[in-house]
Amino acid sequence: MTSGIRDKVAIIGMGCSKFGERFDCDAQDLMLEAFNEARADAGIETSEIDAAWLGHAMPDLGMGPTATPASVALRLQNIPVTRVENACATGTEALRGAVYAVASGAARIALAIGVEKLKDTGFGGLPEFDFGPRASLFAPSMSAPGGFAQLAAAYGAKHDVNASDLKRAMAHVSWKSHENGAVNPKAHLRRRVDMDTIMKAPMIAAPLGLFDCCGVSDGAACAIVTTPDVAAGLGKKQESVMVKALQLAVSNGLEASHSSWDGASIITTRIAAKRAYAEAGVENPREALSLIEVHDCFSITELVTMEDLFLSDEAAAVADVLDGFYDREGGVPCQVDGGLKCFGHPIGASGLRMAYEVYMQLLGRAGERQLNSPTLGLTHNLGGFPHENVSGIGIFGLPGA
Amino acid sequence: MAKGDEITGITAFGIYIPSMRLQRKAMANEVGWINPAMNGYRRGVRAICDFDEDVITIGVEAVRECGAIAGLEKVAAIVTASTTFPFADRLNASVIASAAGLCDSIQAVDIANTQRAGVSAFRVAERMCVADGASNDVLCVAAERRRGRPGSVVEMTSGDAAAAFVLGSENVIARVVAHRVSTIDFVDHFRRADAAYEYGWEERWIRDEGYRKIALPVLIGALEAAGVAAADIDHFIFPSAIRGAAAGLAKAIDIRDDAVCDDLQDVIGEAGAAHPLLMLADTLCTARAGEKILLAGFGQGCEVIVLETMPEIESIGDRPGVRAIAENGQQVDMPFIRYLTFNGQLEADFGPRAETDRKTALSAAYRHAKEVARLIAGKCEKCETVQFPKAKICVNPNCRHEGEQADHALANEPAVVKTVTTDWLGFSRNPPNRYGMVEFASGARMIMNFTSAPDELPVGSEVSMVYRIQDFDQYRKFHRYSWKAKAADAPRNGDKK
Repeated sequence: MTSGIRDKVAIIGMGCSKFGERFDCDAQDLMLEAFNEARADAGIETSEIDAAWLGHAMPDLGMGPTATPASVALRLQNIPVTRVENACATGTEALRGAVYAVASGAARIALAIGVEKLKDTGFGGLPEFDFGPRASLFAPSMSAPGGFAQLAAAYGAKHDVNASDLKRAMAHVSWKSHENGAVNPKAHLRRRVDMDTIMKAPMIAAPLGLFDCCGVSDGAACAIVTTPDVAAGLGKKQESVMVKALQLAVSNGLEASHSSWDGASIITTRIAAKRAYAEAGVENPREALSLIEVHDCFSITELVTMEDLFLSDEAAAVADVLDGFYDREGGVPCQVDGGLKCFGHPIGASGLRMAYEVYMQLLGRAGERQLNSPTLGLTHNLGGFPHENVSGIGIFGLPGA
Repeated sequence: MAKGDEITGITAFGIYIPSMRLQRKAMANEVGWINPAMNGYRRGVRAICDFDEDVITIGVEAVRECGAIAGLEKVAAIVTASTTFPFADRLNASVIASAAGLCDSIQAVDIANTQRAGVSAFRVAERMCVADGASNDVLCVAAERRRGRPGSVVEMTSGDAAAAFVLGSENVIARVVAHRVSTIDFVDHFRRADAAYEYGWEERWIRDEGYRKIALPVLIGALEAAGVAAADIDHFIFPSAIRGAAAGLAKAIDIRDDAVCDDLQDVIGEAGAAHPLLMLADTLCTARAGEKILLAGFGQGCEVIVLETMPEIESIGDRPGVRAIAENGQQVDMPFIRYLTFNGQLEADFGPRAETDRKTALSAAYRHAKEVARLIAGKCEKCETVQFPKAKICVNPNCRHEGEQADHALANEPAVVKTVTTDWLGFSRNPPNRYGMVEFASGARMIMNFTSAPDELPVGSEVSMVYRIQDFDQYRKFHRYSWKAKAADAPRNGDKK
C-alpha cells in the first residue's frame, strides 16, 4: 500500500515568465525569467539545487533534445538534469520528477522548470503532428482542435444536448476565462471578449470556433521544492504550499480500439482524479476545492473535464457552466488566471503555470484576481487527443488543508 | 473438352465512375477566350477523379464491383491497363491486387503506353485463363485518369473511369470468339515519358488514314475469323472522341446503325485506354444471351475482339449501366479552379502546414502492407474481440489475452460514425479535412478520414469504406494508399469480405 505524496513535499518558490508572443526571446531567456523569480521567492542560491527536471515537449521547435539547454541557460552546477516529455502534461511531469526526488530523499532541494517556444514556426497554431511510421499509414492528419472537436460531437450525441446549447456553454467557458485573463499582467491575451463575438467567430474545427481554442504562446514556469523540514529551516516568513497529490493516468489503447468508450469523456482524467482525491484525502471535491486550473486547450475540453473531475454530475456540466458555477464568483472558480485560453499553451510550461496560479492564490499574492482565503487548489493537464492521452492532476494546499 | 477447345471469356465485370463531375460549359467559360472552338464542346459533363483518387484507386473500386458478382478467390493473375498509371516503376497491378486481397502467388502485369492497352490487357488476360493447361480466373482492370492542357480538346473530352473483368472458363457470360491485331507506328498523338501533356495531330487525318486504313481491315479480319457477318453484330464498340468516327466505320462495313454503342461522351467523357472495356461492361449490363459484340482498341495499330454473350448472362440479371451509375444523383460538381489545383495545373498556396514532410518509411509501410491494404484488424483468439490496429495483447479489459490475433478484414464491413469534425486547420489537399471515429459492425473502431463527404456526416451516419490516396509526399513524389469512409452506398449484392 503506497502512502502517497501528501504533505511530504513543500513548494518554496515559484516563477512564471510573461506569456505571449515573445519574439524578442529564446526559450533560454524565458526559463531564466521564470527561474530568477522562483529563486528569489525561495531565497536560495543556485548551488543549493541538487537536481532538476526540464519539461520541454517540442525540441524541434525549441532548444533541441536533452536537458543541457536548461543547465546551460541557468548555469546549473553540473547537477543531474532530466528532460521529460509527455505532451501537454509535460510541465506536470517535470514537477512530479522534482517532487519525487525530494520525497525519496535523493535530493534536498529540486527544481522543476517547463518551457516552450512556439512562436518560431512562422504561423499560428501548432505545427502538424507526426504520428510515427505506422499510424501515419492510415490516420488522418488531425489537428489539435480537430481532435478535441470530436469530443463535442460525441458529448452532444450521448447527452442529447442540442448543438446551440452546447455552443453557448462552450462560449461561456471562453468568455469567463477572458474576463479573468483581462486582469492578469502575465497573461498573453488580455482583452475581454463578448459572448456574441465568441459565438460568431470563424470555425476552426467544427464546432470549435476561434475563441473556443486556446492561444499559442511562448512561456516558461518553474517550481523549487524541498521537504517541509528544510523549508522550515530556511527561515522564510511566509508559509509553504504543500503538494497534496500528483497523479498521472495514461491511455492503454482502450478508447481508440475498444467499443466500450463512448467518446464523450476522458477516461484517464477520471482515473487520475479518483487517485488524486484519494491521495489528497479529498472526499467531496465540489466542496473542498477553492479553485481549479484545468486543461482548457479547447472550451469543450474544459466543459467535459468538469464532469471528469467529478465536480459536475454526469450530463450537468452545461448547466453548471451556464449557471456560472465555474466563474470567478462561482462555487469552484476555474481558470482565475485566464487559463490556457489567455496564457496560450507553451506546452512544457503549462502545468507549472497552473501550479503557479494556485500557489499565488493560496499565499494571498494574486493581486487583483485574489480569491477570498483559498486553501486547496487543483491543476489538470491533458496531453494528446481524447481517444489517446496523458492526464495529469496536481492538488496543492496550505499545510493544514 | 480437348485442350484448346475451352470456352473462355468474361465471368464477371465491374464498373467504377468517380462521383466528381466537371461541367464542360464551366470549362468552356474559362478557356473559350483562348480557343473559341472550345465552345463547341460545351455539352455534358466529365467524370473526374476526386483529389484522392487515381488509376489505382478507381481500379480497385471496379474490382470490388467485379468481386460482388463472382468472388475473387480463384483469381490467379491480374492484368492492368492504363496510360496514366501513377507509378512508372512500381507494379501498379500489385497495388490493386493487394487492396483486392488477392493471394501472393499470382502473376501480375501492367500494360501501358497506348490507347489500345485496355483491349490488349483483355486479350492477354483471356489467354492466361488457359495457360499451362490449367483453368484459371484472371482479372483484367483498365482505368484512366487523363489530363490535358487547359483549353485542349483532350481536356474537354476525357473522362476518368475504370472497368474490371474476371476472365475464366466456368460460368462464362460472354465468350471470346475471335481476335485480330495489327501494329503500325501511326502517331495520332504522343506523350513523352517525361511530359505532362500529349500532343495530337489533325482529326481528319486520324479519321481517314488511321481509322479507315488501319482499323477497318482489322475489324473486317476479326469478323471473318469469327465467321460473323457485320450485319449480325449487335454491339460495335469503337471509342473515339472524334465525332461520328464510329458511326462512319460502321457504315463502311455494313454494321447496323443501332449497333453502334453509346460512347458515353456526354456523361463521363472518354476514358482513354479504359474506354473500350468500359463500353464493353456497359453493354453487358443489359445484354441478353446470343448477342455479338465487336470490340476495338485503336493505337499504333488496332486490336479487335469479337465476343458472344452466353446463356449464363441471364443469371446475373440487368445491372445499372454507366449512364445509370453516372446519373444516380450522388454526383458533385467540382469548380474548374479546384480541379486545376488538384492536378497541379494551378499552384495554389496551401499554407505553411502544407510544407510538412510526409515521407513514407517504406520498411514500416511494408511491415504493415496487408494491414493497410485490406484494413486488417485483429480478432482475439480467446474473447473474439475485433480490434484495430491488431495488437499482441487484447484490448478488451476483461480479457487481456496475449497471443497472435486472427486477421479480420474491415474493408467491406459497414460502419457507423461515432465522432466527427470538420477541420479547417489541419492540412488537407481538399480542405476542410473531415474525419472522425467510425465503428464497424464487428465492434472494431478507428479514427479515419472521410472523403467525398457530404457537408454533414453526423454521429450515427452509416459509412462504407473506399480505397483512396492517403497521403502525398511532395518532396519524393510518393503517395500511399489507405481506406477512408464515405457515406454508405446501398449494400452490394453478395459483397465478399
